[in-house]
Amino acid sequence: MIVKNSFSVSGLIVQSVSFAIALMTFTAYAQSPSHNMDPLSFDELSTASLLTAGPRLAARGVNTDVSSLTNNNREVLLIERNEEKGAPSDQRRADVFIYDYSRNELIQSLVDLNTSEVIRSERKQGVQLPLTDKELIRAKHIVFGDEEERAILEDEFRRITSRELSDIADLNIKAFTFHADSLPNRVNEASKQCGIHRCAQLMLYTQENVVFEISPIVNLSAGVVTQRIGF
Amino acid sequence: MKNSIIKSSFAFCSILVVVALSLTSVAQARPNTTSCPTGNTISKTFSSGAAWDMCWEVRDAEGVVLSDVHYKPANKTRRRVLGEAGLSQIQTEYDDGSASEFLVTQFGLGGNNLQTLAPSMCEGGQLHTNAGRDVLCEVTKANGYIYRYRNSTRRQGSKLDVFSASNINAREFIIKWSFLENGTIEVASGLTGQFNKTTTNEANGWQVTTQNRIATGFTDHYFWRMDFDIASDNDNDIIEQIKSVPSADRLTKTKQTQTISNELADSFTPADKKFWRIKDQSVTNAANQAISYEMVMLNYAQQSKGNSDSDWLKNDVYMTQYNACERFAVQNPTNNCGENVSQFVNGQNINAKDVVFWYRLVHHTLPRDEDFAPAGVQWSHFIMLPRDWTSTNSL
Repeated sequence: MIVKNSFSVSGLIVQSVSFAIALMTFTAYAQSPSHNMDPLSFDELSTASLLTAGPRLAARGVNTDVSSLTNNNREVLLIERNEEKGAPSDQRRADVFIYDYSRNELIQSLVDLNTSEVIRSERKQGVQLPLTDKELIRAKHIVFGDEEERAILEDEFRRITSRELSDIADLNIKAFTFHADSLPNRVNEASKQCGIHRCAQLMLYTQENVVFEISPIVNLSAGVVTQRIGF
Repeated sequence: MKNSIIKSSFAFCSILVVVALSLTSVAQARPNTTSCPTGNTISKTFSSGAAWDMCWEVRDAEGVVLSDVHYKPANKTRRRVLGEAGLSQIQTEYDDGSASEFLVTQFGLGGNNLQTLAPSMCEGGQLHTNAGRDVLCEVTKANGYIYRYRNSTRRQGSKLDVFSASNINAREFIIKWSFLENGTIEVASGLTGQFNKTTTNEANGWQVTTQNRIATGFTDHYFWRMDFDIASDNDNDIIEQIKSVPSADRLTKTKQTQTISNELADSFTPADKKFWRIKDQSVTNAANQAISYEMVMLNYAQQSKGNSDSDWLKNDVYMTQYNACERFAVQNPTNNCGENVSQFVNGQNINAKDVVFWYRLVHHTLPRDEDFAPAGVQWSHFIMLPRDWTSTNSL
């Protein structure tokens, strides 16, 4: 009898432990919805992108189709959690930054992810956020699609490596947004629009980390190389 | 007998449930505060009872940003020091006049530039994960003497180090925060990695003989942004400027204290030992002195206005009223805000407000042969020191 009771008691304990674990899990689960300090989830990023950029551009936000950038003339640059001190703990908002190439303006939108509404949207000129991967690829295509530019870069590669550049995939390329006012008195006429236009300065280096001493500037808004500067 | 066993069992099970709930509560006490991204918390209690706790997050631009930083002196009340703190820009100017780079906004310290830390880089510590990668190290280290007075009175202390590393165009930046047992915060950026930029004029760099090239000299301007939220009310912080001005005969120094009423851009003047402290309007220590933190600058030898005539390089410090859109010291992209920190200073009242202290820390590098390669770490740092946080030395 005692054995039987002990068995029952053991069963009760096991059940209670299970219940306790389930309760802890439930408690944790019940607390799982994001609060205002949590990073944006993939679904929230998609929602923010859809609301501000539309389905076509939003879908492009996750691929690297370079050609479509020029068709749509807009590029999603950044989506991040909105910082608001003292905001309600359940508030979920995102800042979305899109570059409109047709007007050379940055569109900044504030999105309420709880209600799926765009709270406000503003345009600004002359503000250039970091380049996206697609813009970097596009800048690279513009540079190496220019025969004169390509020949100069091949010469530079030969000079620093004593080898022929057989494939541009052999190059490492980094790029950053270029503003004409960061190089006062040294930019040419074509580069003076950089800042108002969206431009990229490319840094090229070999697989052995030897840096090219020339650095092309690409006007992404106009789709042309505007200048080469020393690096 | 049967009833007593069942009663005992029921009591035991009830305890289990209560313990489970308690465990849930304790284990998640810090993460459940809405001030932290879920799980992104760091806390350390030293053997003395002094303690630090804070939140952290990774942003594409700023990299690791700390927030809701609290300090608890040994046997004293835990209080908030900082609402948020991080690097708001690094501007690199090259000695040969090449275009300036703005590393935080043009490249970002976060994203793919934030380096994955190997366990060997965080020996004895704990690595924290972001987006599936170990990117932040938390480690406690001995920190030598806290104080010493003859052989009978001495104490050695510890510190909590929190650091990450970002690689931008082959240069690497180690961003390190040290939280000392005595309440001191040391903030440091360590420059290392590879210096790949070359120039044609040796006057603008240093000949690296083994590589047969001239490495360009450069200046980094680190813009640190500290949103002070001292104690529980973040809207009542006061900035005081304190100078110890030498007399004409230079035999004495006279202290001059001034409350900063409106937003201000200013620079250090070593001759009169000018510094600033951020104090709470209402909370005092046991001796009825306002609790505060002072900015201790250690960088007089390196401070400079840079090569250009840019407004944001003209001063060492900028004091502003908190504004969420004032985020990057230079190339600030948000609407309805200035584009750089000099424009953030636009006459707003900062007396008993939510204040932000911006500090431009400068470091010039003239590469050496020994820097190739990689370059030895060059640290640039400053200190935030508690002033009257406690009425006596709590350690």
